[in-house]
Amino acid sequence: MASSVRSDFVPALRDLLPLRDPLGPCSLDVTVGGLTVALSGFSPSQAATLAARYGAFASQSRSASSFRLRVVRAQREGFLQCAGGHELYRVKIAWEGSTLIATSYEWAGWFDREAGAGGLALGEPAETDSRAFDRSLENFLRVVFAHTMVPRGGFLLHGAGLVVGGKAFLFFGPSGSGKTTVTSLTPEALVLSDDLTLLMNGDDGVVRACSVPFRGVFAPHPVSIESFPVAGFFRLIQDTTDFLEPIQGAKGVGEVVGSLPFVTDRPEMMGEVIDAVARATGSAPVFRMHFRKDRTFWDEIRRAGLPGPAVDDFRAVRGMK
Amino acid sequence: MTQVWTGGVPHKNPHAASRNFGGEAFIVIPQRHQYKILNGTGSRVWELIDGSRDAEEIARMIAEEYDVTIEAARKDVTSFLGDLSEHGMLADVPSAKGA
Repeated sequence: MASSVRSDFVPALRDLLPLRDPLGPCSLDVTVGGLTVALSGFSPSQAATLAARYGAFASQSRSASSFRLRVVRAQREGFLQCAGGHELYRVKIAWEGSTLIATSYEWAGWFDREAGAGGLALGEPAETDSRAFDRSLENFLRVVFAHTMVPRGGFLLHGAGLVVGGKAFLFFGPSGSGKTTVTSLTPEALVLSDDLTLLMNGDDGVVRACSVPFRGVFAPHPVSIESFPVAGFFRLIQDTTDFLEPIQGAKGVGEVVGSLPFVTDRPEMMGEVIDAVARATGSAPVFRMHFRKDRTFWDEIRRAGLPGPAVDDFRAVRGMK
Repeated sequence: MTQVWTGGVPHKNPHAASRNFGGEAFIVIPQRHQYKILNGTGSRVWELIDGSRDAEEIARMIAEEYDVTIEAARKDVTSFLGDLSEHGMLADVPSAKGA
């Protein structure tokens, strides 16, 4: 992390648009939830790393990108100062007209929502340090995808997505609420993510969940680009007993909106955000899930009529029977 | 301290986004990173805040629609508007003051 930056520099668009020096001649497409971003401006070794990192989400095709992002040198060390210790990763988001500007430690990016184009300016450490490069690009892509999904009726949820019996179960809540725990307690599930899952509202009224190529603890290499119909949304609440509390209408919408990263800062987008979440929560039930740190919460889910795995299945998996 | 609305014509916070779900208003104030859910009567008052009606007019409509006395409606509406103001859901009006 660019800890040597001595004070925050939050650039304006006029500071970023003149930056045109790419890190290299390579390009790559990344497709998430039907949206393809054409990335360009990095070196052959960075391209190879990205292709491996994004796996099935990456392609060389340049035919039908939804938007374009170019990587350029920032010509400075970095942007935000890192206070050190356990500081929560900071991303400052501002808007100039239809253009989003996101700034963090080693990078600053811009994205014109109307033009479908933007760029990512990398500080000097991220130009040469492959981990810093990956981290910077990935964090900017999170911001861009979060904002580009909403007008299309989708949204990124700060939640774990587990597929059991062909249906996706979304477990969400703030950091520390138990997303990784429920993921680890369900070893037979296909893990879409233990941290960030994409929800899309289909024209058929069915909300579907899919993986994003951004790393969590349990899904370092997402293996599925398929989408799955959502069985339910579960707001995680650690407790001494397991039970589900159905929440409907505005309260259900509120619980989910509270777990959307990035997009709830912009007043102009909030109507679209609420509408997207309301369509999703209107097509799949929302619960507050009180749970102990063991697998018995799946019994409560099955009691609610949803197709969760049985506790005994787990024992079988672990050879405990 | 509970605030009572004395600010004249209430205006919604221009940054507030709201939708109605089954009679409950869901309101988000992005700058405050918070949302509020209003019950049926509160949602109706929110709906009646259109930038032209003052508290008295809103109270009269509430009294009529909910079959309560104008005194009771006036008290509830001014208290509720004060609450909305305190939570940043109304545009700032300097004359709103504590009671």
